[in-house]
Amino acid sequence: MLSLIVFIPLVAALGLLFVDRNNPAVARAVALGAASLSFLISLGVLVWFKEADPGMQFTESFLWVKLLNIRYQVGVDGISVLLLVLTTFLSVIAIFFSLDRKDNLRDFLALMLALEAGTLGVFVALDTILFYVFWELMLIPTYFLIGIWGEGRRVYATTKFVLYTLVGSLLMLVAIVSISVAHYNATHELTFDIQTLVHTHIDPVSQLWMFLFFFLAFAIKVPVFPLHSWLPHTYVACPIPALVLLTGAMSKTGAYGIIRFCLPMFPDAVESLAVAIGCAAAGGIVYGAWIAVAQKDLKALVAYSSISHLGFIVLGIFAHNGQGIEGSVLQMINHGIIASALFLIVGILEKRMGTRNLKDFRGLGTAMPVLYGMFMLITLAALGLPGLNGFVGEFLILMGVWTSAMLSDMSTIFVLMAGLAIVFASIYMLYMFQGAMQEKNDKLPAHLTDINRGEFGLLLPACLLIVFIGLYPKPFIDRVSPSVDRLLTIEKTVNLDAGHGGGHH
Amino acid sequence: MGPNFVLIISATIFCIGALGFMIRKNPLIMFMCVELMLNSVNFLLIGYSDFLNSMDGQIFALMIMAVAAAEVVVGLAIILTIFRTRHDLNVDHINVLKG
Amino acid sequence: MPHRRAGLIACGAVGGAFAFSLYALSQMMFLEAEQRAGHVLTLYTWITSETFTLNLSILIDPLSVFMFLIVTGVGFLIHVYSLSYMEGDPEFPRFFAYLNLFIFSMLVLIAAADFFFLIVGWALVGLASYLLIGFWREKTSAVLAARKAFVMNVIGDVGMVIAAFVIFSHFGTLNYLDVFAAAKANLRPNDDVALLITLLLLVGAFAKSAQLPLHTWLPDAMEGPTPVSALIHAATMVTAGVYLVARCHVLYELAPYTMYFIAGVGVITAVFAGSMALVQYDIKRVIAYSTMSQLGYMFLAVGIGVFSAGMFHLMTHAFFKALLFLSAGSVIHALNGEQDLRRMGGLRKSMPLTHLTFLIGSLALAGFPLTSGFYSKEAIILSSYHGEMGNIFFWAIAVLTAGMTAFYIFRVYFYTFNGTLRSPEAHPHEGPLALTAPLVALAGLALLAGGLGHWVDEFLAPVFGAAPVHPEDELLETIAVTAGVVGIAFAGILYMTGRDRLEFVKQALAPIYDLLYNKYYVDEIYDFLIVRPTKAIGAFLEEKAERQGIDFAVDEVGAQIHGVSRGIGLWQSGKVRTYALNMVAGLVVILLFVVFL
Repeated sequence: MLSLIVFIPLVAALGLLFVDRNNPAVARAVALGAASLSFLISLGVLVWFKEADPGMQFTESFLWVKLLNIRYQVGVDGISVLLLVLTTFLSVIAIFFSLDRKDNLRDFLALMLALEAGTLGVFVALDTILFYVFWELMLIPTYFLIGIWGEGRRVYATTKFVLYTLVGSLLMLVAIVSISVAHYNATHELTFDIQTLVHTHIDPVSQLWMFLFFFLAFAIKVPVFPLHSWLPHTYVACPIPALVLLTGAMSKTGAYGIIRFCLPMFPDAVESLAVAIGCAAAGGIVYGAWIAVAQKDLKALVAYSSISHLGFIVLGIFAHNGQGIEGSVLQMINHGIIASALFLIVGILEKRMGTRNLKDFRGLGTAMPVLYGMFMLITLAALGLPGLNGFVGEFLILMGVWTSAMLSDMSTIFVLMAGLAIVFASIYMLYMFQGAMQEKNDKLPAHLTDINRGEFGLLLPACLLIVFIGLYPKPFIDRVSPSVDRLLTIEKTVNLDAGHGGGHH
Repeated sequence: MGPNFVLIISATIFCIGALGFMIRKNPLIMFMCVELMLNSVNFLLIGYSDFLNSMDGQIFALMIMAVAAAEVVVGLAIILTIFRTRHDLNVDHINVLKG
Repeated sequence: MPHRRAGLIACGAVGGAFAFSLYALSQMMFLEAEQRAGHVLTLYTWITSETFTLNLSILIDPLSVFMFLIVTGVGFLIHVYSLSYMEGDPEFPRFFAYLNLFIFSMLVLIAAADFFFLIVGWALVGLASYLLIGFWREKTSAVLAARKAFVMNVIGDVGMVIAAFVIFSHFGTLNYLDVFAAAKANLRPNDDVALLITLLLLVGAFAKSAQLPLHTWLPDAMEGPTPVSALIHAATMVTAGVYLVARCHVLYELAPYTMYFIAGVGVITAVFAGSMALVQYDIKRVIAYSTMSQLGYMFLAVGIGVFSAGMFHLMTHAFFKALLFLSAGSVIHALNGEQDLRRMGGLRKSMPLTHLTFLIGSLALAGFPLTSGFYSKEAIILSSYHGEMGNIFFWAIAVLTAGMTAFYIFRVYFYTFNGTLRSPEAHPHEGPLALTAPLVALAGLALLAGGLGHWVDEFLAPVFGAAPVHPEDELLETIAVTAGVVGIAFAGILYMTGRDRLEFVKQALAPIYDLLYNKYYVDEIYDFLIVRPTKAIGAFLEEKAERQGIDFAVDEVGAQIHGVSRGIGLWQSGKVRTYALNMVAGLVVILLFVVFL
């Protein structure tokens, strides 16, 4: 089932290459069909997912490379299942939003599907090598999507993005190999299975550098301050549909990787570095928010606000307790929904007005009452209004940070910094919303129309989810909770006996 | 005529060849210098083969002469082509392959 | 949706809520006094996360029912008033949608059984307030005022969220009842934890109730439609801070230092806001400052521990302040949106009913004997001296403020209704029934609610403990009343004719006058100390830290690698002879190495 979800987009992406370039109708049908099918199957996974089971479900496993015992192994637990559905959902929306592109639609859609497949693969992979393959697979379509269809300094941006992430991921490959070697030295059994490797006992010094190698890759992807400098360039240059996937789904792979690899595999390193990483995350929260206050370009504003919100997620993870991590996972979903909806709105406004500069907007609300309402709801969710989804995640994260034993002395300061950022969030978000939609504008273009039915349909699910998660987050938390509890209580084996396996519990 | 004599002669010829290769600008002359270096080695091989009462060195020398002949064919062809296209045989001007 | 129907649905909803509140009250009256407190109704489990479980539940006790009644009762009257007031506004349905959102949020705030949903309600009323202040979204000043109100309230929200964290980390729960029980059992008076929690909660309370130093948004909030000012920024939402302190009185009683702090801030805000109201010319702003000032009284009351007196004043204030705002709205309506006192006057003849209701409201606000304001304010002023934590300073400032209050409200009254009309093009007339009926109802309440004082004390006793003993002190009472009467008299002498006889005073006290007129320059100070540095740092971070710092550093790594590659590339000159030289040189080096090392 999971393989279907991952490979339908991938196969469709390859299939699109055989479709006639001049026949966009077929390309549209294929892309939309593949994305929708994948979304429907992932909904099925969500429905049949057993929420009380903390382990991996829907697992599939067979041998891939016999010599090195690399397996094709996939499965989901409570943490990844939500992200999986989020990704397929956003893909459908992103592909919908790109349907009216004129320039080489077929290739664009093919790359979008490939990007989706890579992201989905990262969330389901249970073998480190497989994970790595999907991790790199995400990178290639992004490079072309930005480089070919981007705007502004697109080549500069995409080169920077790819080189930046590549540096991180190559170091990760070193760590992936070395952790398997460490496992082999302990048990004389070569495996790349994540669930086995998490039990491997590694000495603290090795943990430290392996952790750093992994963390660097993930931190760049998230991104964690101060490794974020690719993000503003990339986001500003990126075409909106790709940006939906980029910000909604791909940036979550970094945080997911931290939860899946860094926390269970290297507990000692996490303990010694948590405060430092917390400082970086909290710094990023304030830093991003503060810069966002000064932005005029809507895309850049949302980009910097993303840095701030993603800082929350990382901070929650390193609170290293139930509330913090559950809040983080929920906040990944929330941010995926909110940020992508905001970018869609930016795209809609840009389509209509031909500009993204706040100075050129004013009083659009009069002409666009429906967008006014939806934009307001999403803005409020983004600034963390209680009763909407953004608040649930932030509340849980900050509560986790406040009660965190691992961040101990610094937690108060972190929470205060986050509080400052929340105040800033209300400033820049209202600045954006009010600046664009309110006040009087006599120079509105005459042809300005409200969002059409298609655009309404794209924003509606996001709005519904925002309200639903805000009012009733329990179903989401209930799915995440058991897996997080298991994650926090993973036991390490000290055995050096040959052929004894990694010690499953 | 001891081995030292052979060594000195061979080294001298080799140095003449190497210096010639470095100093001259005409590829034909440089080519001849290369041949000179090869032949200095041949001389050494044959001299020592006599000295050690072994045929190996002489066989090697024959092999080298065969290879050198093949190499001359290719090298002269290249030089000829370059001259045809550029009408200029100063090696310092042939530098399109620089980094 | 047709305007009429939207309005009726909205009014019907609030009216229904009021009816249910009355039902709750009647149910509560059947119960024995001891059984009235602590009914928690759980709707559904909202979240379960590790040790943290949260139910969406509501707490029904006398305090919440009391607040229900005020909010839905006054809310209903103001809804009816708005039917007429907002008629003809193209966005009539949107207005009522926001207004109902507000009532809902306020009820969530009041009914919440734990700190989490208190915060949810707290933020939602902030949202409703934001939406309604900025209701006329084409007006730039309204948009800016709305943003200011929202941001200030977010500051308060953050304080409350952190308070919730402290509560959770110490008590392991956010339920009121559990927290209060645990606090009573475990905390000593002036325990650090109690002080921390109460002070953090106060950040929220002060932001919401416009107490110093988080008060600047309230006068600006008058940019919203007048019914909004009446409902949200006078009668209900801004009193949420007082409600919060009363609700958490268990915690506050454990933190006497905080109580002193509250009383101090309250009384200072009272006199501070009262003094600013003395010289303003915008009719709504005067009433807004008066609201701040009266809220100061309420904080004084809860600060010195007479919670039921504070709640009583909250109630009477809701009546007479809503009345004043609605009457002012009626005046503004009649004068086609004119809010400047200097362009009013002589409305007594053309608007007799409004004149009467405004007079009643003014008398109640001034604490004139036998009006509702008299009883509630008197109770607070007396307790501020005789109460357990009272002292002469609190009392003196409270009395001074009472005098000021009487003066400024009657200044408005005389300006508006006496003399002759100073905007000749207007043709003032009384509004329709929907506009006047709520005025009459509220006037009745403002006049007569004073008799409810004892009932309030007793009704709230299950929450606050035994009903407080009201000190009797005729001397102090007389002084306070005299202060009020003197204030009225002064206003009468100076403004009776509706003309400004104060010019010479203004000349003489020009610096003080300017200071008051410009609201002590607090807005300017904030702008200078907070807003500008924030913007400057934002720009600085973007320019220096981002572009020239981090981004530059990353690009520089790339550039350096590029440069080094280019340098190495020079070795490949394309010159065959150079290569040969390199080879020989390399050979020599290797030979040297082999031979000598």
